[in-house]
Amino acid sequence: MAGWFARGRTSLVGRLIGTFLGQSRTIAGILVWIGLGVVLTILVLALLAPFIAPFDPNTKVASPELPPGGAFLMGTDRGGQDVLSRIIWGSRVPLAIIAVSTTISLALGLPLGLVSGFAGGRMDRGILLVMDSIYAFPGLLLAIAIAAVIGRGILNISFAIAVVYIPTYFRVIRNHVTSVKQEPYVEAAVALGMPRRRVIGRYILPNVAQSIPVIFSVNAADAVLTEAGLAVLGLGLPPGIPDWGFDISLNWQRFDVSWWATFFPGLFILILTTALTFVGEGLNDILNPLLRKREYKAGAQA
Amino acid sequence: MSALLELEHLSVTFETPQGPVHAVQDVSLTIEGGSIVGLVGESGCGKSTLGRAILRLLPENATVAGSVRFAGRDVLALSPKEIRDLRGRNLAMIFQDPMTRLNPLMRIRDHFIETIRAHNPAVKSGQALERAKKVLADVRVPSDRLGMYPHELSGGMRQRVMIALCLLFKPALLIADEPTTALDVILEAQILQLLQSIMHEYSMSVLLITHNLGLVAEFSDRVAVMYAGRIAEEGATPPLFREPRHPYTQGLLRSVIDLETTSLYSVPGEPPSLLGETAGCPFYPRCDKRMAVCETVYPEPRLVGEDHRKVACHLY
Amino acid sequence: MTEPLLEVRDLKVYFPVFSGFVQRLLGGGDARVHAVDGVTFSIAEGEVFGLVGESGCGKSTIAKTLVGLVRATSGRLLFRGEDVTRPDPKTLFRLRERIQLIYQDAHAALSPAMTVGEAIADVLRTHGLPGPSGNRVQTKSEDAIREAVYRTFDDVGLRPPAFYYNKYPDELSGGQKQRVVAARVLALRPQLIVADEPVAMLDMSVRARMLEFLMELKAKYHLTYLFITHDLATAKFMCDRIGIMYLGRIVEMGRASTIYADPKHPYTKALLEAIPIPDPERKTKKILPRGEVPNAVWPPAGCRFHPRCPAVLASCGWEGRDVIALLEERWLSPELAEREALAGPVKEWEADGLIARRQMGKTDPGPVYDLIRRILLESGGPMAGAVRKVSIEGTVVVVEFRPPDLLVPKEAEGRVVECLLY
Repeated sequence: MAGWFARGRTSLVGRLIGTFLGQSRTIAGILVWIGLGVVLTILVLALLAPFIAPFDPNTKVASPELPPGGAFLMGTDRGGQDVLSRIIWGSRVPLAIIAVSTTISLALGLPLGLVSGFAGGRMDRGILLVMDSIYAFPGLLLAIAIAAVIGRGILNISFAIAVVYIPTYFRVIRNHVTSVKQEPYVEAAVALGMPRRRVIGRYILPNVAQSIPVIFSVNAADAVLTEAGLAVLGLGLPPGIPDWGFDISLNWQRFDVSWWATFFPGLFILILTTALTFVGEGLNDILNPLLRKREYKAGAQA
Repeated sequence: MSALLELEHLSVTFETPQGPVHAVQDVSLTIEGGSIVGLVGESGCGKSTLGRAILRLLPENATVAGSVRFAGRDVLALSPKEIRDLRGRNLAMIFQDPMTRLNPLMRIRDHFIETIRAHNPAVKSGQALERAKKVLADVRVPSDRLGMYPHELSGGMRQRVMIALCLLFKPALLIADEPTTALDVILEAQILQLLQSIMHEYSMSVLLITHNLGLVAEFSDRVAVMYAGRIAEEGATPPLFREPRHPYTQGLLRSVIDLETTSLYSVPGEPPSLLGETAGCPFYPRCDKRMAVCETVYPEPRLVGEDHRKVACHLY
Repeated sequence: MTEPLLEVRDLKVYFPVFSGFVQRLLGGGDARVHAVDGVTFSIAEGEVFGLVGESGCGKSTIAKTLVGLVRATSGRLLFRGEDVTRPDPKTLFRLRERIQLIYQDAHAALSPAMTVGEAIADVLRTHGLPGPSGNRVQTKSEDAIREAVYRTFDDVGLRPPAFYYNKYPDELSGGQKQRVVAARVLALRPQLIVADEPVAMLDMSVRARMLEFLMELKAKYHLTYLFITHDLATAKFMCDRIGIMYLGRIVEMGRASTIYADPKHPYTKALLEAIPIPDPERKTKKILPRGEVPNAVWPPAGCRFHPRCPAVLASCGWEGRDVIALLEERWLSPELAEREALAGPVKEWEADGLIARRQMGKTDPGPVYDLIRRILLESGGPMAGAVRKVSIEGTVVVVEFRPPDLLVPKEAEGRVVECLLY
């Protein structure tokens, strides 16, 4: 299968997948498989929530603070709602935020990085300055500020998180472009008369694309944490939407009485972020060309 | 003369994700005191790996078999401390790109002080500098360069400084791995002339690793020709160049383009991959004198002719 | 005589030195690398013209200037009589169909993320297919493009073409990649090919094959080559005419056979002498030029080769910094350094154009004055002959040189040579 992806007349995505599949039996590859498995399971939970969740997450279904067991596998919370059902429904929030925020930051960070790195000079320095000043803010603080200004809602929170992450995409892509742009094949493309946009799109982008999945997974893990952080601080989603972070903020003062109502949402945040980090770290080892080149050199030096 | 360095059945294998790479296979080679031995071969033939294996400078994924005896000591059995002491003191190495071996944040003087103290911590910096000046004068580097940083020196000066650092402890053997490949032809000749004169002053032997047949012909006493991790032919320089015996050496010498070249020749095919196991002679697919036996049986090197040349070929 | 295909007239290419902020404040900011400094040559149709020189002599910069990757600082480039020194984008686009580059490293010249078939298809999509009468026909038909790529592969000996189309560069051998790069260039049907060190990265045993391939292409497509190399032996084999470059200038230029039979410029002689010969029976002690190629930011006055030249004259361009180099060289010997310690250390000396001076402060300049005169006399040679005067000005010891004679390229024995000896 790896061969099929690597060899056929394939797109960029196919080539990345091919590289990954080629090394899927290494430790890094196994990490990625575990991470992907967990994330996919949570995705299935989220999609099938109406069919899987045993109770309505927003109604009182039993007396408050029942310990785990019986009909309520994870007990009930302060409002007598089923913790398990809230966790299943609540998985939709982080996933939606990941989808929206990473799309926004990628859509802005990637082209800015490509253009800035390729053009160089004053324009590069200008963009770099703006991006660095955003980057210099502590991420959560910036997200709090943005969330406080533009208000609650999945879109708004995603936007706040996206802004924090644009500079990361920008930085990584831009630095990668400045090194790839020195490569003779880019110079050759220019000498062959290729227009600028084609040089960037066909000769530079495919050779910097391997950084994207890595930042994407790290970004996603961080987005989950930031969203939970905002929710705990009361800047999260409006009540009525089941959300892990919100549940922690609601229940953590009663941790000594009903630890399960805080523990299980927290556990799921941990599981999801760890899984995403696994994917990121694993892909980093596999796709990061610097590491790979070094390994290759050590092997082939002769 | 006695043997200074003896390699016996030395093999180096790299574990890579693609499988084992046999960079050096079953190499036996002797270097006598006071001589220049040229180790010549094309890219990927394992010549640099061989040089590094002698100093045990290989990465972790390498396994070494066979023996390396230097002045009677078994190098492969030395403790890490002993090998560190041996390196630099008795056995030194210079590389193609001196810039990667000099610390860009350290002045030249500090390189000397550090190197001297690494082997002899009691030396005061004043004494160390005096010694540095002496060796620098030997390699024709003005002593005011001591106060400079590596990037302030020209390419030739850097390589001279590298040589001077190697000379500090009067090593018995200098391994020069493509020492002039990054340099232009005039500088190349300058540096090699320098090496030649210093060698006598310091009564040092040199293992000159290079792809350049011309350099080997001009500067070495003996030559070993490497192909695909093995030594194809080894012997005294003049007869080997006059009458090459191994078909690879013959092809290689014929393909050299020099000022007298009137017609071009290239060895057919391309060098083999060192990945995986091979039976038979590695040069077999490209050889114009191949026989049926060459495909299956590796020709053990044997002594051929009056000049006692070692040749690994079924023809002899 | 027919019009030359390419004419380069007094080409100069300078690059700014990217110095730091502090350096710029201190006034080093306008320093420029004189990469190409007044080069004139022309190439006739069907010829192989070689530019030969060591690294940093400016030969690759000329290559890049010709294909519009680098801008000329001054001078003129004429292609078939048309001025292409500062082409507008459209002229540049057309020019790149006619002048193309072959790189030293075929592997690096191919994008690792693109199949080699696509690499050529992309060129055809941008420039159109070669038409019957030398024109180009734009097409949207992917089938037509694929057909054209197959033909190009076939032309360079990559057969069967369909087998190679979907290969990535790292699945091909070195020789095959060379052919792909050649095919990509040929897809444009260029008239002039600039080959920048095309065999320098290749192993000796396969080098000849690439040269033969280049000659084959030349015959088949009526190409003209600008062959750039540091290797005099390869140039001798390949080129009809050559120009020897040193520090941004052509020092000797003419028919290859003339120059190799009887080199005139001391630098050409030095280069030829330095080539190692793979024949141990002809070991001779070589007389090599001293030192290294100077920094192209401040090229030497007069003839650029004068500080290293074994045949140097008093009028070749001696200047202040040569005194410092002399002292440095001299004091490599510990005895001399001790005997002449009074005039040292070297860093007390300062060069400024034709003048070298040493500030003595409160010490009596007399002894240093005497000593430096003696040193100049003792070292003798053309340098001493170029000294206008050694003097004491207040507390400063000054060595001043006469300005050099005017150096211009001259016709001598069937070639152009830039040297005062001729």
